[in-house]
Amino acid sequence: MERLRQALAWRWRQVNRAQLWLLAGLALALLPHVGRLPWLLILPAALLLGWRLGVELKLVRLPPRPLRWLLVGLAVAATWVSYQTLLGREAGVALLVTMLCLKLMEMDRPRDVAIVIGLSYFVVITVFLFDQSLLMGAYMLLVVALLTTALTAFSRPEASVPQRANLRLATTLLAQAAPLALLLFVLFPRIPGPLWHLPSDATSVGTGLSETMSPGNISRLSDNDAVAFRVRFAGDTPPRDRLYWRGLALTHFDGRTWHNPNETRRDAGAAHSFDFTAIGEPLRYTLTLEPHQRRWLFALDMPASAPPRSTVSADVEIIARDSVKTLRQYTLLSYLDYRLGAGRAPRQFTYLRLPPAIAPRARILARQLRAESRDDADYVQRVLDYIRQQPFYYTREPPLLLDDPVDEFLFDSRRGFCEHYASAFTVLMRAAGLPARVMTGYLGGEDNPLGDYFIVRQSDAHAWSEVWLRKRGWVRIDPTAVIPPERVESREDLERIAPAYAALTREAPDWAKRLWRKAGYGWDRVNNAWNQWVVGYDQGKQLAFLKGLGLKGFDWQRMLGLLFVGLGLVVAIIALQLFRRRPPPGNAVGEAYARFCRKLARRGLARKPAEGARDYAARIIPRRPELATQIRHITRLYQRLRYAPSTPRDGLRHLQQAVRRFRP
Amino acid sequence: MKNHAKESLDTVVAAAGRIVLGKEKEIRLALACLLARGHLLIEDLPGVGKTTLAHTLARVLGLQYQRIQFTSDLLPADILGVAVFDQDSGRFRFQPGPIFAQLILADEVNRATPKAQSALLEAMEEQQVSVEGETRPLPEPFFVIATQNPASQIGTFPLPESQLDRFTMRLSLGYPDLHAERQLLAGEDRRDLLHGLAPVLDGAQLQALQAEAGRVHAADALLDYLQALLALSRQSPHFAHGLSPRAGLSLLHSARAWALMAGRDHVLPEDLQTVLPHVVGHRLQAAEAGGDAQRLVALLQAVPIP
Repeated sequence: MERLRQALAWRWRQVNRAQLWLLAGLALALLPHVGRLPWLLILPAALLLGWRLGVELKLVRLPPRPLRWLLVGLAVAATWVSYQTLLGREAGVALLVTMLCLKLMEMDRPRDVAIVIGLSYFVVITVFLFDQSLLMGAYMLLVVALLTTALTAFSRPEASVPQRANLRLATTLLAQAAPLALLLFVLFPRIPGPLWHLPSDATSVGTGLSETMSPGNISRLSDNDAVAFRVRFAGDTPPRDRLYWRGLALTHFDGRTWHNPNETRRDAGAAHSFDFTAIGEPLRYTLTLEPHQRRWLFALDMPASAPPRSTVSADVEIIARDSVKTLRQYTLLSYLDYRLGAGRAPRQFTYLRLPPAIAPRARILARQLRAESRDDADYVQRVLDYIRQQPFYYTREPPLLLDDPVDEFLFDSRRGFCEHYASAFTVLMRAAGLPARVMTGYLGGEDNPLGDYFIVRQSDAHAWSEVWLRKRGWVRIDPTAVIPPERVESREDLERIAPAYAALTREAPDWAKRLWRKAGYGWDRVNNAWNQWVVGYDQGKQLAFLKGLGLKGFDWQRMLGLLFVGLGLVVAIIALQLFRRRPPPGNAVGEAYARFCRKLARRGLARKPAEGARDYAARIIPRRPELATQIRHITRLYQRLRYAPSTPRDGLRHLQQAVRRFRP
Repeated sequence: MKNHAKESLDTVVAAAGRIVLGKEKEIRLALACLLARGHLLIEDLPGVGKTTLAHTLARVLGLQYQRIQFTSDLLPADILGVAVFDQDSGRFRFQPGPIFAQLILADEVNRATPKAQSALLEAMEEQQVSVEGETRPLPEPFFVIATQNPASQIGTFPLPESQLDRFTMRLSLGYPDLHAERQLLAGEDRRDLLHGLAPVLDGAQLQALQAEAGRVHAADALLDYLQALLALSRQSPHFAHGLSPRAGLSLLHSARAWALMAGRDHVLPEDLQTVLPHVVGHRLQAAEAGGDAQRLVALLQAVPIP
């Protein structure tokens, strides 16, 4: 056992370090894909990496050619089995990853190494197809540094080159590339919209609101702290309980689930004429939506326009042309007070339909209440009063509703989350002949005090109703808002539904909680800045940025011109740095003296390369007698520091100081 | 202490300068060569003061002085000495040759046969002579000034490069300048002056100064420069052969002595540059036919100081 360990240790020391850099870099590049790709592909990739390491340790041999062909066939088959396609984002990445790991099995020439490292860089890029967060960016930078180190190590295979030198060289290379990358990022002309369409894999499911609403699927989100979107208001921020973020309208009910059949959304592309009257001043805001893999966008109730590349459906939902797979940012105008569709009654067929057999008790209640009411508006008020007066509770853990969720909720359990209330309320409306629909979206949001913007999280998901009333059009009614605060079980929900009441009863958080929350706000602000300025750096931001620099009216041709001039400039500066003869590193004395010589050289008094410091001083002092004292001082210090056995204390500092002050 | 060394050496130079007129640099170089425990080759025409220089140095430094005139019939025994039979004791008694002195002037060394030359050169190198199977040490300090006449090459045996390499420095004195020549012509006879010259130092003091020269600090940066010089001579196609390690040591020792004479405890690149032409001039050979050693020295002088 001990001998085996020793033999392994010996072999480990013999392993080409460049291979280790490459394997480490590749493994780390694959790591973010581990959760995403099926185990059928991840396991073989890990095995192949291990195999290569075994080859380097001389424990196993490379597979023969027929076996390699067989493995390629298996990899393609496994990808096909997992995705039923070889194209698209996930299947493509999977194929790339497995093929790259297979390439390790025939990596024996410099050409193969170049291919493997090049493809590894490409794998790094594919990670950004899934995750564009700041942390992932930092992580990938680390991986790129490792891969670049592998590149330098392969190009300098001499054993005499210490690995630290390779790492340093790679870091230097990356540092030199950084200004180029920055310049390309800032100046490369952006086109409106994405440069390419992300493949539309149907397999990925995002978190967040779903297309349907049934009891339990919004309360499921109440613990989800993930950010749904962030909003920055141009002017004043409206009160939180007025922030209804409109998402989907659900018109069809099957007794349990609300949904919106495709037929209403098919005409999403068609232009709808809305009978829309705005009241009051509009609110302007910019919304940055996290990718949620669906097509709908959110807007403050009620938006006056749609962002580019999207349309408005008949139910005033904003539907994007493509599903939101990357961060999406848009600026909108909304009116908190409005009148919508007051002129014409909506189609009875869509907004009054109920499945015939459901909720018999609710229908009786509706008829009874309607009979007591003066008009439709009074009926709405009576239903709300009913909810307020009867012991309805707002809870995150509603009891399971089995046969007829609406009736069981309204008359038996009386405990529910927003979807229960919205659903039951809408049913009561329709049963009394009032056109109504369920709206899902978000309510409220969290003000980030450090960043002057709102964070809306998945836990803010909400559902409410819209009822059409004669002369008033569609009116938003939130039945949960009438529940008395003492019947709201969860503190978080109270904050959301009745912030004014919650504020009265709020306990002062202790300092640890405050600190934690503050740190959370800080981190969210950093992420927000990253989203705004890096991920969301589009044509508009680019033009605004250039305008800030005083470069107005830039079209893409001039931008490209500026880009190339800038690139040339950066490359020239780096080249100049490289070509300038420098004393060997670590020689601070020589460096300081070289700086002194450069200063004089700029005045036409260059030192000849073979000229000693004393001779140089003797030659230039007659030309610049006014500098004699300084020149003598610097020369003497330099000679002492460089050639004398004992150097004066702080000599180097004095020399550097003297050179700094020296202005010929 | 260093300034003490500089003072006494300056006195030596000043005293010698009163005899050998207008040749302060050459006197200093010769003295540096002596401090570096090396030997000096003076190549010049007759009558420019080679002998006077050697004699003056011996006098000022308080060294025993011997002059050996090299001729084509000179035998090694004429230099080293012979064992003669002593009638009284009935034994062979060693009669030391002229080499047993502290400062030797080997005049016109290229006139003698290689055999006699090598006797001298071996003594120079080993600091001792072996006669009749017995090894006898030479006195300390031991300093050889050899002279060569470059003009008349008929019937001479020029020293081969391997022998030249043993001389630390080569000097040529050249004609005195106008002012010095007038002084020479108007002044007293040099020989009389020489006799009236009092020694400034003695042998022991000189040895102490030699030891001190050996302690002068040569920093890494300076050694880098020295090695750059050696590397160029070995890599450049203009050189028939590179400088030997001995040449490198000679350069370093001479530069140390030069630094000591300037009153410094460390060597500067300038010290190296000052002694360079005199230390390497006689060791270099151009690769091209008719090439000039001067050009090679210029190449070395152009090596950048790291």
